[in-house]
Amino acid sequence: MSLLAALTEKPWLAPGPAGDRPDRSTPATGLAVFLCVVTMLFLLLTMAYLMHMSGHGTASGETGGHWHSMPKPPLLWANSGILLLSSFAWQAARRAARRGDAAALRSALIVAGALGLAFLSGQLFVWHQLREAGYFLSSQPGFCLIGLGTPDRSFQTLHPFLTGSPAIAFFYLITALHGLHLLGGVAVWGHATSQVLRGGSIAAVRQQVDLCGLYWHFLLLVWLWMFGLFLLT
Amino acid sequence: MATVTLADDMRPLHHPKTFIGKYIWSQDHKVIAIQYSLTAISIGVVALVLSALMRLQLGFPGTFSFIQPDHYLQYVTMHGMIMVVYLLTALLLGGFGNYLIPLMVGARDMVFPFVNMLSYWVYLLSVLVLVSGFFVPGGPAGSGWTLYPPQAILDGTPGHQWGIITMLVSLAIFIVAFTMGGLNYVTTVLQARTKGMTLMRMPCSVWGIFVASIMGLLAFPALFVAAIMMLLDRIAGTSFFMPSIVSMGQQTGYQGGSPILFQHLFWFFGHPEVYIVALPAFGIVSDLISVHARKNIFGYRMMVWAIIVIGALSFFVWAHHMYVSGMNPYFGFFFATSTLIIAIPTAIKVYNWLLTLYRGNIHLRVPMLFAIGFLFTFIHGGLSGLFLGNVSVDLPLSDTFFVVGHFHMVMGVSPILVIFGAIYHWYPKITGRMWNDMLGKIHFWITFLGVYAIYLPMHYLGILGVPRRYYALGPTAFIPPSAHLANEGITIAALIVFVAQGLFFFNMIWSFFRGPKADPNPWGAASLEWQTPDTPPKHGNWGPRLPTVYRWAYDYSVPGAAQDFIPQNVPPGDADRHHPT
Amino acid sequence: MAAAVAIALLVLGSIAFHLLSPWWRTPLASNWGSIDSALSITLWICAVAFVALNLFLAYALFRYRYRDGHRAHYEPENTRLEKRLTFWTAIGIAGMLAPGLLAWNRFVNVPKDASIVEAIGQQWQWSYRFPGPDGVLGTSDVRNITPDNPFGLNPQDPYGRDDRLIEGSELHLPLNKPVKMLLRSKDVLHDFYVPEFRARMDMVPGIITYFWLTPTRPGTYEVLCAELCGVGHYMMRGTVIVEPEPAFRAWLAKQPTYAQLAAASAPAGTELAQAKTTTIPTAADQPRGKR
Repeated sequence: MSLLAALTEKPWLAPGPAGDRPDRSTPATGLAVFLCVVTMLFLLLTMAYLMHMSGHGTASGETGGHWHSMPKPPLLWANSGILLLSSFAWQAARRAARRGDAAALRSALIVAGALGLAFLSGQLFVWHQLREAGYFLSSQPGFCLIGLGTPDRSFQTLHPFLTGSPAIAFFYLITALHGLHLLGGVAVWGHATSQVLRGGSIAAVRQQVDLCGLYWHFLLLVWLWMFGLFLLT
Repeated sequence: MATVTLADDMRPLHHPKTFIGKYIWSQDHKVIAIQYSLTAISIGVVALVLSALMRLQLGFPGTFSFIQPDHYLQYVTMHGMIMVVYLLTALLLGGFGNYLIPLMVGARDMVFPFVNMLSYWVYLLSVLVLVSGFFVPGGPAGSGWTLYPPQAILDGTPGHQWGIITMLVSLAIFIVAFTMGGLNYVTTVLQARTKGMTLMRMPCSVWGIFVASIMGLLAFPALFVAAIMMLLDRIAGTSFFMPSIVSMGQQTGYQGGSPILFQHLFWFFGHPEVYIVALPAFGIVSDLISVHARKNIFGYRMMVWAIIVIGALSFFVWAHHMYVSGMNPYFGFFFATSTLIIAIPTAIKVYNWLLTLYRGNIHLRVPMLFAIGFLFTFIHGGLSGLFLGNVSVDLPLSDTFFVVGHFHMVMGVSPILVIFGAIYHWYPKITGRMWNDMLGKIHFWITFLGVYAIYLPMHYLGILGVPRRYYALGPTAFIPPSAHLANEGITIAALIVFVAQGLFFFNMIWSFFRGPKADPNPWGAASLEWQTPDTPPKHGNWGPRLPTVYRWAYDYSVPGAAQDFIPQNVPPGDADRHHPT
Repeated sequence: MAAAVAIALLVLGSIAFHLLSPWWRTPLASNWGSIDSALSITLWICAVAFVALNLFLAYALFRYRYRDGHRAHYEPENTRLEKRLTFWTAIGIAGMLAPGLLAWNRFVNVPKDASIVEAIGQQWQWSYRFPGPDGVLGTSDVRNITPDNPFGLNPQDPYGRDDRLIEGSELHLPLNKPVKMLLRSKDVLHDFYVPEFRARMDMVPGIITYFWLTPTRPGTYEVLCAELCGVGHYMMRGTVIVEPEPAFRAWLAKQPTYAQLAAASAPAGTELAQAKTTTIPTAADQPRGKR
């Protein structure tokens, strides 16, 4: 029964048995709902980014004067490639799990995990590169209070995480949030892989691998979207 | 045809053996619901005390010298944030949502019980972090619950040092908790309805909570983004929301940020948030009215659609909180229109509640009294919203006591009356005991008449032009001395209502230990949660076999039926000889 | 029964409260009678709804109270009735929205002949600036603000030299002349609110906001800050005096200009060295003048 039909029926008529089973499994539905939330998060970050860039709410030009497009270190491209490859690995893992091929599943999972971890370390290294090049989170020399005693008006340097532009600040924020979500996927990967390596049955991990793979593909799409945003602005 | 039902798709429930497993680290939705409710009500009482302090200052300025201007703003801020987020949202969704959804749809528990348990403990953590704000140097945030930058993180605003940090961190943690809970509520409704429970056979309570949960999942990310960005502005010196400014005569290093960007993000969350509070209340009150009037909710299909439409439209009206913010004034045309349009499905719900009472058989029991109190105050509050939604009429009323009167009526009065009614209504199911009727009635009358006496005059003070968030009005030419008398009167009414809540707490606690054993279905309700084999329901809710549903939740006073209600799990047969088909 | 009576009494009581309440709008002192009309129309329509719905509620509670042998009527829905109610509600909503939007349309369209006044908010006081005889406000920037240059004016801008600066929190406005209030903030959000004027707007640091009005009634009015701006928010008060044009001109002529202020303070060299060249353009908002 279509959703519209389901929501316009007259439930007081003809009492009797009714209803069909849901099409999707429960964990899959849960993931679908969760993906809507994550989509919303990155959509809003995109809107904030675009509004900030266009100098929204500032006197014309005030932000324009400070919007330096951020540099794109080559490592960022490499990282994107690594993430793409890891998605391929996940896809192979999903197919292997569906087929029941334990050996293929094992190798696919190891490759996927390794590439995923490589991506995350690559991202941390990009941060390091940016800091080395002088691109920091905030635009205020000596501001950062992370790790400080009294956060009041005497700004003391301790943590060299400073002097940036809005684009850089957004870059740090967005890559951090993307990375945290990916870490969540890595946690599930760890759980599934340890089960597979210990010789557990494929059926037990099939759904985990399937859904985690989907989640991974989704985060790849998010990354490509965000990366595209950084490139175009 | 298989005898296996929808809800068998779930993994077998984990049955704990120890006290700790059963009541502390519990994965039973009923226990989690109680945990949420007790925590939310406790922190709500803290916020109530803060409001009493605020009223003491407003009613008798200068008398209570321990209330200084910075304290006053901190009370205002914490009161608002606690009430909206940590009480109302947590209680209605975490409390009522958790308790009612599985029982009303015929499931054994939520679909992700472990995550559900986690969501409560993360919520508790968020409350503890919030409360820590009272103990940090500088005290809690004093920027108003709306947390507007640049002031929230600058000198001149109380709590700008540490209080705002604890506030923002607490909100981020709450949002994680809410996401875990919301995932459960939505997925359970989609996946775990028992055989025969179609979407349109669910009671309105489930619809209200279900749609509110979806809205929350989509709206809270906006608050999350705003909170993280403001946190970075505060601790890392970024300028997401901070333009070039001088603070207390000193140039700051911020530049290029936009305070209005924060407002857009905040209200994109904030407006749906008020409907996240209102929609569960709407759904629940529909059930209170129909049960105690022995009549189906009038126009059930329209009621469901109105909930869905209100939920969807609520994402398109947010800037009616920003008419005087300095945003592009042309936006005012769009948002005034969308805001007044959302009044239409809301009005239809009001008509349908009234039409449910019309030609009903109304038992004026305590839950019904609270439902009536809801109707009266919500009609008032909803209508006052039309003044504020109409952009040019909002110009002189924004940031005055008219706004304070309006939002308390629709958020602080109507949903709270529904919550009281709902607690009285489901108490016998949850505890297996019955409360004292006389105390309940006294509690109702003092609360209902008292809150109206508090908030009605505020609208008039607002039309006069009295601003909100003022520590003291002082001698102000256009404010006559009678307005100061009004403030005194409001304070006295508030203190009376405050004290009267003691009756409620006493009744609930005393009855839990000494109340008479209650009938499993004392109100003769048709919905599924009243048909459990045990009262209170045991772990797993339904015994060995899940129920099968044959009818909608509102077969009351069906012509020809022997009783004036037919439970949802009664098969068609003699019970509905004359049932219309 | 008691409930029915209570609801009916509350309706009557609310009406009585409204009629007897000494708290109502301040007398209008500007051209924004259209806002007052829109509010009155909204009030009437809402009052009709409030009374009708609640008296219906009281009636239903009385007539359909539980009695032995009485049974409720069974009627799941009545789509015709619901459609009709939806239609008439929409008519009522439109009836409220139309005058509101018409008034708003006047609000966003500033008259061409409106003169300019700038109001500057800071924690916790007001200051004001008028363009001099050249009719153009000089550019300004928060980063120019120093103790000697509290308005943050750009010392290199010739248009700013004749601007009249008022720091005393008392603003005068000429009677019956439309004025566009340009609003600016040095630090946090504020809001320039005079209840008798009805129109107002937030002041947002980083941008210039505006509203316009024509003062129509001479007198002295209080300015209140209407956007929470810290602990001193409730003390951020000012005064506006509306007077006939000749008196206004006489007052304005006595106010110091920026040129006088700059000469009286630090030597010119320091000022120029500290001046920033990126500025917030104010000329775009002005009706005449070269910028």
